[in-house]
Amino acid sequence: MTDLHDERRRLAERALVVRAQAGDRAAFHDLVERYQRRLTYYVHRLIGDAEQSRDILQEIWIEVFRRLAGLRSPAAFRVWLYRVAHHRAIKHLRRKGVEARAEEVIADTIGELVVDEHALLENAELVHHALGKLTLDHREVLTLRFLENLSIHEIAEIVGCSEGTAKSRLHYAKAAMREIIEQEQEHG
Amino acid sequence: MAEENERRQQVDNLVAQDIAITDITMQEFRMQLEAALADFERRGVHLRRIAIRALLAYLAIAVILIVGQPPGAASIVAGILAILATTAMVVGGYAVIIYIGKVAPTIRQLQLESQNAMIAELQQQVASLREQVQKRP
Repeated sequence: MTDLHDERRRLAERALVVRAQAGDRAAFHDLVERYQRRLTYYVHRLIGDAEQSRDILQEIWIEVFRRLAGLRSPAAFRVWLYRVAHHRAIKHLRRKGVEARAEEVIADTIGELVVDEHALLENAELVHHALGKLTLDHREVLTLRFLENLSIHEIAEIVGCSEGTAKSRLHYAKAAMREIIEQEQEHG
Repeated sequence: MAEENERRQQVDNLVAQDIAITDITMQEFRMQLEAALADFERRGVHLRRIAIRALLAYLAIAVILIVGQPPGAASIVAGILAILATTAMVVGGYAVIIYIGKVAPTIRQLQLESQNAMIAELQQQVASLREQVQKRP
C-alpha cells in the first residue's frame, strides 16, 4: 500500500516536472509549493541567515526555471533540485569566505554507534537545535536524510562526494546528534 | 503507510521549528519569485527583439551599401553605414549564438518532453486506478 502510495506520489511529481518543462507555469508553481518549505529549511541550515537564505532560494528557483527544460529525467528532479541548491549555497558561503569545516564541536570519539533515525526525529525541537551544533558537512547530510529520506547514493550525488564519504558523514552526524540530544536531555 | 505518515509529520514538525518558514514569508517569497520569473522572461523576449532588429538593420544597411551607392562614391555616409553594419552584425551574431546555444536545444527538449508528459500522465492515471482497485473489498 505504501509502495503504491509512494509510486503514485512520484508519478504525480514526474507529471508536474514534465508539465513544467513544457512551459506550464502553474505546474512550476506547484513544484515550488511542494518543495519550498523543506528547501527553505535546507538552505537556511547551510546559510544560517534567514534574509540571505531567501535571496539564495530565489536564485535557486530561477536557475531551476531556466535549466528545467534541460533535465533529461523528470524522475531525477528532487536530487537535481537539491544539487542546484547545494551548489548555490556553497558558492554563496565561499563568496563570503565561510570555511565549511570551521566549527567542529563534537570530538572524534563517536565510534561505531548504531543510531535509529526514526527515534532521532521524535523530538523536532531538539533535532532542530542539535542540527545547529553540527559541522556544515554533517548538518547538510543529516538535513537531507531527515527532510527527504534520501539514499546514500542520492546524498553523495547532491553534495558531490563519494558514497563512502556520504555514508561516513551520515553515520558520524547521526551519532553526534544523538550525543547532543542526550546531553541536552541530561541538562534538562 | 502509518509509518510514512508519521515520518511526514515528524518532518513537518522539524520544518515548523525554523523561524524562516512562516506562511507570511512563504507567501511573500512566492510573489517575489513570480516577479523575478516574469522579469527573466521579459529579458528573453527583449533579447529576441534585439536580435531581430539588429539582423534587419544589418540587412537594410547591406542592401543600401550594395544597391544605393553609385560606383566609386566613397563618402562619410558610406563609412558610417559600414560601421553601423558591422555593429549590427556583431550584436545580431551574439543574439544568434545565444539562440542556438540556449533556446533551440530547449525547444528540441520540450518536444521530447511533451511526449513524455503524455506517457507520465497515463502512468499516473494507471497508478490511480490500481489504487482504487486495491481499495475495493
